[in-house]
Amino acid sequence: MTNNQADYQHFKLHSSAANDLEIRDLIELFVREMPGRIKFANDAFMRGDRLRLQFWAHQLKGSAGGYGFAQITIEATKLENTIIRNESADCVFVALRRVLDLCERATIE
Amino acid sequence: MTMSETTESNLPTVLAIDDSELIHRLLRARLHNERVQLHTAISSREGLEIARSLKPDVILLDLDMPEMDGFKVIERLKEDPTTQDIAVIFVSASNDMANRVRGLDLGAVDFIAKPFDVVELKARLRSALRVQHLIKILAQKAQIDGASGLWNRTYFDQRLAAEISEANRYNKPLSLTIIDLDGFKSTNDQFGHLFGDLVIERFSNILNSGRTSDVACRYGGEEFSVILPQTTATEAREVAERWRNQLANTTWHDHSGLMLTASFGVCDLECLDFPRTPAKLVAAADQAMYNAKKCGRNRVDVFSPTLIRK
Repeated sequence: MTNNQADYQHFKLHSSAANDLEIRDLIELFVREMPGRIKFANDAFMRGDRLRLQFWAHQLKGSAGGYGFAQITIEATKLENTIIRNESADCVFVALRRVLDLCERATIE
Repeated sequence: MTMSETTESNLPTVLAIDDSELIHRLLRARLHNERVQLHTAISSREGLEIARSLKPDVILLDLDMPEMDGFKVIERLKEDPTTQDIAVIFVSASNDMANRVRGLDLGAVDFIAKPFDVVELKARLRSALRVQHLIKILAQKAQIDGASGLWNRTYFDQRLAAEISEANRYNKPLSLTIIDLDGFKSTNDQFGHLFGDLVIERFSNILNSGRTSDVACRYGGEEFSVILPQTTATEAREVAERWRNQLANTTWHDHSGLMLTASFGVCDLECLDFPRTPAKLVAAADQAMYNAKKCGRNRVDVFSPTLIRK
């Protein structure tokens, strides 16, 4: 394994339920739909639509863990709380970036 | 609304009300091998509608939903007599103890945290379904007469009111037959109460062996009543004649030659003045039954307004 390959392996975020046959297909679908989910959140943030962003974070918080992505649930919870506490746009941006970073790295491979 | 691939109608039904399709997908996959029929609703409003029409055994209710949250949904469910007995399990990403307590105080039977552990989810669901099953058995037993196995008077009163309301609303025929075993007291005195119990049991079997839509009840003592939905008085009379014949032709092994009979009074809603009420229908069928007694017993009489004048 080259250094680049090793870095890439480290960079990926794997589902802890990847070997769970009951939901393996669903995890694939969850990951495949990730770009649409990321776009939704970015659009909501750009428009300053905090309600939609909060709804997005809340849904991800409730579901990502079920698909084996517990870290996404943790960061989505922080994002939701940031919005609920009506923190500054910068704070929301930082929290959102953390969630999106994980979402972009989510993989089934 | 989406239904799981499982369509066996005798399976317990579970309704998941959650605004996340991601959760619906997970639940469908996770509960696929459980012996349940899973239905899903994507909003509170849709969930309440499905709950009213489906009357599921258990509702898995998301707490945080836009428009109407889970607390408001459970309040609506508990206010409505048709949905108040459905077991509700809250499923929520909120770990707030105050929310859990409030949910339980509002009538939820359990609380599952999201993201849910699949083993815990299945175990809690099975537990709620077991309790619901036992509650249903108890409720049904409370409405059944022990000696005859027929529905009891309490059930009869509720069911007759419901059937009359339905018949009035949709203009459907409905008949009621009231039956009294002839000379039952002297049968008891002569052959003993055990034999009396046997007579009650055999006659109940005759009433129960008819159409599945008929609702046979023990009205009290040696009196019985049968609600016959979508049946005119003429049709109800034919049915009652069959019951009368069956009883009269029953052989009583320890008492050969003994013939036991009953008198039947029949009335349908058409014979009544408005408003057509349960009390009026019972009184009219009773009147017809007493007429059958007066006219020699072991016969079926249909109510007509002239009977009142007699």
